Amino acid sequence: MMASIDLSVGSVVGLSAVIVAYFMQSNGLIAAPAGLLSGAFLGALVGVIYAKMKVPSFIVTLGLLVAGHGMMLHITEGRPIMIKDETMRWIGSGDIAGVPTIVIVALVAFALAYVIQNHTILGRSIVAIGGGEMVAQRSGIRIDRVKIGTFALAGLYSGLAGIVLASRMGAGSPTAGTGLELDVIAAVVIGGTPLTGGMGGVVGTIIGALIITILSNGLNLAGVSSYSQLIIKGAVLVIAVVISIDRKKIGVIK
Amino acid sequence: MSDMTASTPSLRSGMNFDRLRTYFPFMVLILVCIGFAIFSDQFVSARNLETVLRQASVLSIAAMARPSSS
Repeated sequence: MMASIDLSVGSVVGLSAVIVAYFMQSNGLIAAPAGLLSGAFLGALVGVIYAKMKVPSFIVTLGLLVAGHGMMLHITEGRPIMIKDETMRWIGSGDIAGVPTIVIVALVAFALAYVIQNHTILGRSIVAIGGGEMVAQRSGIRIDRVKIGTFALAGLYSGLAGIVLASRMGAGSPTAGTGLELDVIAAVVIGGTPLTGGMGGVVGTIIGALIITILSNGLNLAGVSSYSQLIIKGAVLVIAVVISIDRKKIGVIK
Repeated sequence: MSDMTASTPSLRSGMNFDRLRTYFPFMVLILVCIGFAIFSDQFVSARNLETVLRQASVLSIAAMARPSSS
């Protein structure tokens, strides 16, 4: 909604997964918050470079995408770090009263994101900045602070996704999260958040994520090759943008 | 009078397009589900539903805060 692009999601998710697995070797489950902290720190770092140094978010996050993969390879030395903690593995593969634990974690994360978006000053400020930064600034919103906070929050969620991914895989893999950024952007756009900002929300994004997942799942069941799946996913993404784009708001397309 | 009658259909089509944009994700989700349910019996099984939810969880969490920054 802030009209920024974040290409670093896959790297931050993967790096958080690797950091959690690394620290869990000696500290057990108590190391789990390390994934959240590393995600939030990287998000805040991106936010500071983007907001204070005026570097386009596309460039900063592209840099982190590449650097993050390097850091993952350094920490893992190219080999997966296995997670032996049973509680951690239960998060990824267990259930509570028949509902997968991982789904409950996602629902709690959704509830928090919904409240932040609709019932906090940060959420309303994000919508205002996406709608028009100059107007938002003149109405008293501290633009830089909101941008940094937004990227830190996005990083925190990436950190949580990293913990969940590590628990699901039972390891911190050097290739964890690879290519996730494209699925995330597709989910956000298909969910109705235009890249021009000012609109959209978490409910649409959940729907977008479900569409992307169901597409992959259904195409797998139908025996469609992975190559053809990429073509179909790409076509769905472009059609979603064609329908969701607000042409009145855009003057010149470059 | 003629101006009013000329502008009303375009205004109405604009509103319809806005509504289409709002409900587009839901429509796609329903269409995709119906489509795969027709083509594959396995798709509507409880086991596959659980698999989809597990797979969607990581992507959902990673994407959730992105409407803010995308």
